[in-house]
Amino acid sequence: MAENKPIGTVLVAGAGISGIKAAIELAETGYKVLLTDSSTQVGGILAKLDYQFPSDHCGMCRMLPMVGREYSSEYCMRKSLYHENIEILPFTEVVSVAGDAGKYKVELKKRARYVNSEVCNELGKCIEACPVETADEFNHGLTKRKAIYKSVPHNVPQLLLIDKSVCTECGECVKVCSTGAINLHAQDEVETREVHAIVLASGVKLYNTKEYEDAKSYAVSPDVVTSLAFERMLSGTGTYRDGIIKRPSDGKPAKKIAWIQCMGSRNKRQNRDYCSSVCCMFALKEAVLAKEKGGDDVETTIFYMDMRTFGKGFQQYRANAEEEHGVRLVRCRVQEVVREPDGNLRIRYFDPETNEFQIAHYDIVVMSTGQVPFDDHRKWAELVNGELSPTGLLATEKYSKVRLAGKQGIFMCGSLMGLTDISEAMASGIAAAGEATSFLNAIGTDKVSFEDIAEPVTDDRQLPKAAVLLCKCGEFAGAEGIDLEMIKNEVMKHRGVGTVHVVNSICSEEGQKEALDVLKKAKCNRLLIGACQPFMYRRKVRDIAKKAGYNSSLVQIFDLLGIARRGTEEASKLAWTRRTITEIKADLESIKQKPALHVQSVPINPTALVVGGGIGGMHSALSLANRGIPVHLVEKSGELGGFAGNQIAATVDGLKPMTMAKDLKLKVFEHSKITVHLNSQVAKTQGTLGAFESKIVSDGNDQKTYLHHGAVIMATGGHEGKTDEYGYGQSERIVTQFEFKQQLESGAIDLSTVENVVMIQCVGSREAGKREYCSRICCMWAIANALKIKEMNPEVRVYVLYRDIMTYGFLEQYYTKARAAGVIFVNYDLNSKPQVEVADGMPVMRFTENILNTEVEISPDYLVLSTGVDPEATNKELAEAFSLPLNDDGFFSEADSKWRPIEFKQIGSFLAGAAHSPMPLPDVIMQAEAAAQKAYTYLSGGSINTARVISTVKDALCIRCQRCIAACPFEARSYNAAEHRIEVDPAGCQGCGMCAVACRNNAAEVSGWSDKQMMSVIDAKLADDLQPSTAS
Amino acid sequence: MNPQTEANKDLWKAIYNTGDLQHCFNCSTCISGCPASFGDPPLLVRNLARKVMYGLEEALFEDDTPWACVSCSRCEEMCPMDVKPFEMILHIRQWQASNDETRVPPSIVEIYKRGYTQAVGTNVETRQALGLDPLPIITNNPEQLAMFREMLMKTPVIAANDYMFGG
Repeated sequence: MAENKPIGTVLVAGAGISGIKAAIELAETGYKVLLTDSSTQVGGILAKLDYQFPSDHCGMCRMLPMVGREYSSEYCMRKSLYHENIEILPFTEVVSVAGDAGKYKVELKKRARYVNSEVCNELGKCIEACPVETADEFNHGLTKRKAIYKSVPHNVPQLLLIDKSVCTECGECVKVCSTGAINLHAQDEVETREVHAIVLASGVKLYNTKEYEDAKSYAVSPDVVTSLAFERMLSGTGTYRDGIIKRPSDGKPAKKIAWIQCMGSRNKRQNRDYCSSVCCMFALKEAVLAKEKGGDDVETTIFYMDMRTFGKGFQQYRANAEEEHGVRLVRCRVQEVVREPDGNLRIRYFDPETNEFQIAHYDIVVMSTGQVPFDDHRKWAELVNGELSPTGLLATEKYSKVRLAGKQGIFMCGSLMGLTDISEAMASGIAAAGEATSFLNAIGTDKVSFEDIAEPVTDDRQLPKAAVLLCKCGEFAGAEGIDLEMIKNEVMKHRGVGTVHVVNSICSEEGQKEALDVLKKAKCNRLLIGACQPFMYRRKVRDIAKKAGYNSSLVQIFDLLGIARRGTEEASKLAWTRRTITEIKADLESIKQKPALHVQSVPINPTALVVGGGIGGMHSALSLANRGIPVHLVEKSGELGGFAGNQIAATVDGLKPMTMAKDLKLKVFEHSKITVHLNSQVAKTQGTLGAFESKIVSDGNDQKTYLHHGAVIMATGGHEGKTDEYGYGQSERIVTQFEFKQQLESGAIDLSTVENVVMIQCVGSREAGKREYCSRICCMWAIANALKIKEMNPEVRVYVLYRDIMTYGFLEQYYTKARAAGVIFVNYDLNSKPQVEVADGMPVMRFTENILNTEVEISPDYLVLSTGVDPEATNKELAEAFSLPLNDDGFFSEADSKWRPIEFKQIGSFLAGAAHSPMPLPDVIMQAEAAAQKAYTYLSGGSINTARVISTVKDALCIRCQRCIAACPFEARSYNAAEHRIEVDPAGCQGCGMCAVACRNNAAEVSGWSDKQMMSVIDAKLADDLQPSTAS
Repeated sequence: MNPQTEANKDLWKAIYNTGDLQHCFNCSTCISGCPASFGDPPLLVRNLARKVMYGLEEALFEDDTPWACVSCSRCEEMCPMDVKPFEMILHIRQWQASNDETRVPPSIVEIYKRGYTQAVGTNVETRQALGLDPLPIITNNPEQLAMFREMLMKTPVIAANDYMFGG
């Protein structure tokens, strides 16, 4: 601090979920963030999605920090995002980037909104007055909006703007605006800002069915919609009302709905030979939701080519969609949609089940539209003078998905990397923040530090006495506002109120000074502040309270404009004022009954334990150590490197894992902050949050070491699966993909004598009772081996028997390449698995040729089996030692499959790579970086404040049924057998209240949410006994 | 089918050597809207591509469906992998014809009999609903049909095989 180092500042360009995640991570680490978005709002595509799989709910709030929530001022991410270290600039474009690494000058163009959101009171009179109607792009034209409008219906606060492309400048809005917020002649503003690093998170352009030729034979009616538009038809802020999914053309309830996959993607003719990765899961989710929202009689059909369920839990979701919800999947790409004279949509398709053509009619056809990335990449390449790959995408450093090639301090994340699902958006956002943090650390910038105001010592036995501060913003106290004098008088009469004071602009410094003086004099012990947008300065208000000697947990912030925002139609000044008084009284009752909560600060041992010395584990260890965190790296074998680092020399996309591992090993062993424990396993871990002690057993029980650490990263990896199917073990010509690869590379196979090779995919995978998941990498392994064969001897015939080829994203190009090389791909399903016999030591096979519908007999020289990826067997013991959850497949279970993929629910525990699920090397490294970042933010904080609102146990009422332990999603409750009582880990508890719901005896209670307190609040709300005004 | 004994793996080189065919991923786009796929037996472009890829020489040689193609070129327009299926069909026809000079495709008999390779004149109700006149087809006009047949009889392939055309 004393050296006057600048505060590290990062531009995050793009405020979709990956950009928001990167911004939050950086802000939590203590850096300043400029978060821009070219659109009018934050949230990106996710702002339009009310439901996400697998829970089919919204869960955006789960991406918020879990620790110190009371200061983050955030509650619902769909409404908006607030963080004191993040400056949000929507409707802002990056026009130029100048300067060099660590000293970037960025020119930002803030586009004019024509409505000053600092003055606007969001009452929406202007919207009523506006005579111009146009299609609402938020709802994809399914609804109308005015020229002056709210760009996202559910945002708080609402940022209004005028669409100048349709505005007639009639001035009606200006006439009715009581605050003078509208300026029809506002100009765009350009400002230059200095930042140290840049994270590109601008997402990707989606395939537009109006723009591209090949959509014309499908988009023949307003009832043919894109998948994003369909999402709006399922949303309450879209056209889903009265429980009806409405057909756009006539509003009729839609009962038959079809999805057409790969719209715009997997199209070599249109130079889009890639898969958009997310559309399969998107369609499955929409089909399930359509049934839930539209009724059981809704029929859903998805026309697809390969159902790409490659991510964690995807395959199970597909199975559930088919089996539980009756979603029908038809493997056929249709050529056209025909609009019948009666408006119904006709699709003719070839049904592979019956081998016949079928004609079906639908109410709605949804086009699963994907990405068109090249323009975005070209734009950024020009702006930051970056390199483009031969494919036309921004080149990244080898092995990294987030670091731009040759550009120090510039990173990317989210769908700019290629359309990503939520979990990958989160992981990449955290990884980009991690890389940026390392960079800021290396160039020597500082972090924001806060004035740490100690919690005053208060006397809990005092009778509750509340001070009420009301903010008098001139705008809303005007002609149509509320009557502050009347509120003041009425609230003053309420029992337990010590003083009521009207402050001028509590958001200003003078206002805060005035508030502090009033509070000091008032000698109360509770505080209620009524202001507009109070969530924006929650920390400030609490700091003022603490300075004035109030316990900061006894501060209630009341949103004075909230009632107006909720849109009371009868909004006469009197009615409003009365409602406000009632609400304030209810809130007063709530804080009167609230017990003071005292923060516990737990010190954290700033050491990390990384379990698993593969490439992922080594990457995590180095990333932490380079930022000054001491690391213990525990590896069960005698060698670092893991499966990939010790056995795989090269991959099809030109990576060399063994070379990379060698380089990492050198760095790990040389690093003074890293202690490597080889031939070692974690036997037991105990301790509490932030201070764990792990017992390490080395060299077969001979040596025991005790390590102390504050965080743990699980990077246990995986290995190729085993099988006894398809004659494996009965012939040396029946091998796994990995064995085949090794024999090919070592020259053990003489391809000049080989005529036929058959490969079988999904061996023992994606099948009930076996590996029920997709191992994600086997299709690429098979394709790589097939290409290798063709390269060495093009005369060999290679048959790949597959169920769904999982070459998502730009991996699709390898699939195309393999076919171009003459590899024959034959689809099979579980009902007609290939048959293998062994005769004279050689495999003899029969399989169904699905296109020609004939049986094929063949005696291949080699039968190669893709046996999937198994989790490490030691996961089980580790899970027990660390009390971490495993899923049914034996992989670790992260806190939330979409929003918190890198961490466990248990605070301070993280995971990366195949410990999470099978994944390709660049993804392992990305997760490893993300896990290191999460651990770094946590460990570098030094201490952790336990969540303030935590649950308690009333031992006298508790019957020890332990229901609450099962209900606790954070595993913060446990049963102490010695004392025969239920205990709550104060740091683990997030105050969610699940235990209180589960408890049948009212023994579990969340402090500050007691039944008595809630009853008083309800009473206050019902007792609206205010007499017609006696006040002014 | 045993591709080891029955297939000529280089067949594609003899028929359609552009390398486009190999890109096919059997998506079924070519067949799902193909007008000739309504025929009996149907023209299944996708399956023809598959036969060429496997090298099923005999089966492909006997296959008459390539001649049912009406050259509408929709498969060509919509094929996502740019296989150029219509080109492939023309190449299969050429290959069949150049390997058997006496080959008379049944579609020629169809043309002789009713003026078209396909049963046009269906979709009567759809045309009505859309307010269109019925399609004027040649079989409804015996005088013109006779003239048409007389003209066809003068082409070498029909003249040389007139026993097949009731001549």
